[in-house]
Amino acid sequence: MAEKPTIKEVDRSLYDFKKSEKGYDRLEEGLTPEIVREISARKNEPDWMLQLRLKSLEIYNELPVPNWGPSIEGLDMDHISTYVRPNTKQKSDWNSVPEEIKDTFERLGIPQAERSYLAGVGAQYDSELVYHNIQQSVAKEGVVYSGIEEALHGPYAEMIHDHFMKLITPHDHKFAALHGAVWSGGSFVYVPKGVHMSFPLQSYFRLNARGAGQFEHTLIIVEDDADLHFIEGCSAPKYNVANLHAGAVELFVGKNAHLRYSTIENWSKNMYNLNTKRALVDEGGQVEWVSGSFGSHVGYLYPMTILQGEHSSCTFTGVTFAGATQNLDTGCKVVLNAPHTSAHVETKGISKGGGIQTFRSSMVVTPKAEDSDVYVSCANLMLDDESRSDTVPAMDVQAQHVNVGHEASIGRIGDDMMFYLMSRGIPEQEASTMVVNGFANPVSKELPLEYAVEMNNLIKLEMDGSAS
Amino acid sequence: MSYDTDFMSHPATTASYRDAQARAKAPKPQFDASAQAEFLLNRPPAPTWNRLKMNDSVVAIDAPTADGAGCVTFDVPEGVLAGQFGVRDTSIENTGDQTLADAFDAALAQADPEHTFEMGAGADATAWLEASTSRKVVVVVPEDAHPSKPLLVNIDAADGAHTVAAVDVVAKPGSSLTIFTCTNSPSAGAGAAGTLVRVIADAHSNVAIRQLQTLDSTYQNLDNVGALTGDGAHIDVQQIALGARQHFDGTAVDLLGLRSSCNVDARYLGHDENELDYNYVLRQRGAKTHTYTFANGVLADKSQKLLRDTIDLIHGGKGAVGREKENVLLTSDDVRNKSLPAILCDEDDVQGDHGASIGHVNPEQRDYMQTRGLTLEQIEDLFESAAFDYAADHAIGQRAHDAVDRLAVKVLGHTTNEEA
Repeated sequence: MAEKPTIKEVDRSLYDFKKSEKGYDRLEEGLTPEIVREISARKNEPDWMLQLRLKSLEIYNELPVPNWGPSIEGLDMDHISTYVRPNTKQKSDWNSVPEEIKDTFERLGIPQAERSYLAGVGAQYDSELVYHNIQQSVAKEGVVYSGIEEALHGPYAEMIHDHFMKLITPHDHKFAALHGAVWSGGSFVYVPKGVHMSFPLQSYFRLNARGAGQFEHTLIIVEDDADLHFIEGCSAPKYNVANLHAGAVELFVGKNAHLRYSTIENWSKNMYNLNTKRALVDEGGQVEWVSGSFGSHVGYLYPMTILQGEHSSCTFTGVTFAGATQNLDTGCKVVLNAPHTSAHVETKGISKGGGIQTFRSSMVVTPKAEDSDVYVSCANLMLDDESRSDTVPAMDVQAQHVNVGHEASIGRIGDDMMFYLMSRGIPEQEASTMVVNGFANPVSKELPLEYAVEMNNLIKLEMDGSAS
Repeated sequence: MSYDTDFMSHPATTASYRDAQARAKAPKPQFDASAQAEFLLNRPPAPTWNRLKMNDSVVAIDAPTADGAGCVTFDVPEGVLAGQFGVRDTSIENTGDQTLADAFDAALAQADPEHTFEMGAGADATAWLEASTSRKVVVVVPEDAHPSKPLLVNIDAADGAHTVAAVDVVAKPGSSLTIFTCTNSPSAGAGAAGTLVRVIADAHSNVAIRQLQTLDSTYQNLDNVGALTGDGAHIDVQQIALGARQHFDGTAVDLLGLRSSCNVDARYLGHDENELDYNYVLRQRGAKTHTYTFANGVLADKSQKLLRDTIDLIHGGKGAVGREKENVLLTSDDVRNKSLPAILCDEDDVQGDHGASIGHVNPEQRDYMQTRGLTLEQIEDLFESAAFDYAADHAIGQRAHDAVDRLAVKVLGHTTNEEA
């Protein structure tokens, strides 16, 4: 009988490197009104923001922990530092960024990406933005891409006030409330009416500090007839204590506007990723979510789209790869709340090495959404019998003239497929990787080439660690 | 929240795991059959967002004001060992001894050493139905016996009464049996009815569970089924619901045996302001088990339906295949359809798939029928009428056929044999 292959640790050295916290400003662990006031005071915020933070903390203390997803018993807020500021201020050229931090982002390829194909970059390190820049040609068209705290004090202060946590409210769930209380850093993007961005903007989030939380807030407003592609990336070194990411992303998509929001999530495997993302789409607007989830110990991630305007639409294309020690609960939510709206969801899930992967979705078709279409497809691949893969799709249809379709499948790599590849001289490991890459192709083909390569590398990384 | 320094050595537990642990530890609920009752039921194995209100349902049942004596009757086929027991209905004498009364529990203890047997509607619903059972029949089908007639169970709901039939069946190896329950409301009024059906299908046996519900829209109904299969056994479930203000149906089948299988065929028509609430749980524990669930229904007027349908491909069940399919036709602006079709998979060498189609009459069907002179309203009536026709075609015995026609006249304005 063949010996059962043993699981070895995945080599994640590309992402798993730590930097000293010397000179950092770290608030004490835990969550108290004093800490919340201190964060607000350090940022010199307007009073309405402080009140929002304090109210959010109250709500956080009242709301229960979710009882339907992965356990978060290993996360103890009394051991999380909610604010860790690196020893630098935000810069707009890489040469001014402190050497250690610059080295981090260079190793992750962010400055090179900016030079090659991005219209602007924001880089957050722990609780604060350390770098933000936008191409002059884009800025001249009226596009704003800045730190959200910076925008809070500038000419867009009123716009921030009118949109900030209006789409994701602190009442939504416990970790939206937590975010409201201790958010720090993040980006503000404003694309004026009719402006089409030729190149994407990117934000990259790096959490270096041990036992810390990152709570960045991204607010994007794409005005009528405008077009934007926004890319979000994230990573962290691995520690033996819990880290927490509870960011929030609020997207406002105007009439006939288009927004593509792409994410490659690669947090370290001690991370609790409890992120919230939401888009509100006006008449004829379109939002496209492209999501690759590879990291984290526990993930709760369900980008939500509210199709508020007639003929608005959304697509969600996602892949989730859960390896050893991971429990990733991902999917999406869509509310169709206007006539002639449509939602198209296609996801792939892969689980391996004892990992748990769950696809969870909610499609709500309100009585207003007559003549609307919903299609949800999820396919899950089990790579061994130690892992687990669940699909929990929910549909709530309250309109008559609609078409709602749903398909789900779970299975393993077909023997015939492996036989075909191996009979052509491809080793088993490589053949498996090829099949998994092909399985995830619907997502990678939606990404810019460089990110598709990164995603395929992440899959290879996970697959290479599978057996020895 | 406790701080777990070992949290990185294994994945965090799933809600379905925690739920199962909590259920195993929960004490058995108790109900007073003469009192008003309110309880949760139809909780699926894998819960989801609470705000969707799909994780369970709540039923409130008024205290009975009548005893419903004689409203449950059994017609037991020849060739089986059977005992009838008046539980709350003492108008008829018991016909079985204690050994027969305990036959199901004895067989369960042997067939289910891991205590995985469950009822689809959950512990509270089971306890309420046990407390409210009017009459119970226990049937043991001897090895290789194939009764030529079905076990017929008639439940005639009565005004103010709780009318509940309990059926325990042990199908010995190689045997077969059809159980047919018909829940009807021949007299006007409002009350609650229900069935509690437990089945052990030993190796290579074949048990068909057919349930028909034709209650007026003033009644509540609660059907609760649990079944367990041995090697090569097959369970065939068909449930047709045409009425009731609230219709709850929980069905759990534990496929323990190698190559055992289960088919579920759920048909319904929602009309008036009726609510239909389902929970199907198919646990595929044995290797090479097969399941297929097909739910097909029409929602009209202001009716609502919630279908939870879970295939659980359990670790060790190599080669298992589970399939779900759902079609829902919506014929009114005021209906509401909720679906939660889950596939849980803890094994790699399995196949699970699901497909759903929810909406209006599809354009091809509509165009075809409109070219033949039918209006859209007539087409929708046709689908509602088809639900009754299907029920009539599958009704066993004249009494059940009459029950379908009785309700058809009220809902459609004509019997199943007449043109609209």
